[in-house]
Amino acid sequence: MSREPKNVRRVHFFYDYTDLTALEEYLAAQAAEGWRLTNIRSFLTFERCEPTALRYSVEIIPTASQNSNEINEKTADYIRMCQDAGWTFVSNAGDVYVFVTEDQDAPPIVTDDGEKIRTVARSFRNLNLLLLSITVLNIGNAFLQLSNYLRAPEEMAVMLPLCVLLFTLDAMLVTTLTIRFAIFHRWHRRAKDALDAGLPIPYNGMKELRRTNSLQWRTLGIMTGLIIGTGIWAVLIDAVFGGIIFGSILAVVALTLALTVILNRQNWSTEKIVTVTVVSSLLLIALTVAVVLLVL
Amino acid sequence: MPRESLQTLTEPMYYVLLSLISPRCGIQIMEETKALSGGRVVVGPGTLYTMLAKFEENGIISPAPDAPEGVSDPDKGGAKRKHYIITGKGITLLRQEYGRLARMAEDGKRIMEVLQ
Repeated sequence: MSREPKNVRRVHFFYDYTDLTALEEYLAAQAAEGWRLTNIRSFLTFERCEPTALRYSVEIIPTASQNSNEINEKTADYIRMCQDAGWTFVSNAGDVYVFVTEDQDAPPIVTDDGEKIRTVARSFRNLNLLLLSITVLNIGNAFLQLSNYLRAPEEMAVMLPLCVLLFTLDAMLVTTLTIRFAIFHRWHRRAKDALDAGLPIPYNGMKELRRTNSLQWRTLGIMTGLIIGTGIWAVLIDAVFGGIIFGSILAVVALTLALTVILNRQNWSTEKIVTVTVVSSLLLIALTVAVVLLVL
Repeated sequence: MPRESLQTLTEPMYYVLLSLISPRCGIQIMEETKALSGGRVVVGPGTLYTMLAKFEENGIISPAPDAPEGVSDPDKGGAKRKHYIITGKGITLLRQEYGRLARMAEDGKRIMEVLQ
């Protein structure tokens, strides 16, 4: 029995604001192979089509929110102006918007390189400063758990694997963010130099995008291994409390992933996203407390 | 794009303001800018959007109440396109820029004549 060819394909890419040109190249290559992009939220979703020569433009729209997919009035005006100029809106994720055209002569959406560099820099800093502040909060939490452990090391032995996990994860996050900022600032300086010299702006290509993706997947693999490893260590020390602590951590990770995928698919406003996130977190805390009380 | 104070204009800004002597919507501004510059200056829709927002914020252009007759409105999905027109402040800025460019051309002309 022959299998039906798949008509929908999903690919996951980690991309940064300096990778948008690489993404354009990738999407055009997919269209030439017969896969047309339909959605960019969480995954790049493609539908099978006739191999077509398409031009993609992936832009950061300054009037759009980074944290919500909702298309506000100003952004709708921006999209309309692009559509009048021959670009069809495909999909958005936060302030990253994808447009496509078959017209090889349509003018680029952004023709001012200086404006594009400023937009990329602003969005990069806003997003990564948010990640940095979350990491700082996590470091505070790690020190709190360490102080709990140090108060009674023998009674609280089960906290040791948790402290090791939190400090290692925080160290990895801080290192990753530091490297990201360093790479970004080097790019920003080179981009401004290229602009002054009238040369093409050195956005990342597919080669760089593939390399950073491979690195990101490996980092995620190490983090997962670390959670599982320290979890087993904690259960060996104290099956009940170790199980509760690491069960909660796994639940938080699973909930975060599920929430991210669900929220990414919606067109909700920032306020609604914050409400759903807070309510889910409170429910999870209540659930953890209930489990602890039941066990005790 | 903008030098924040808008005391001098970039080339695309200059042509966009020239095109707004009559009320125009986005696509019409892009077409007129290209036509006025003999195809030399192309302004993309994203860049134009940001530029128009900055001009409007600085009172250099304002929304035009209605599309004038004889100018086709490229409505495709039924949504009304916003039209803009240059304000008095914008015309003053345009005159200043024209004067600056004319002086530059005049100064250059004297040297060019000597070179020839």
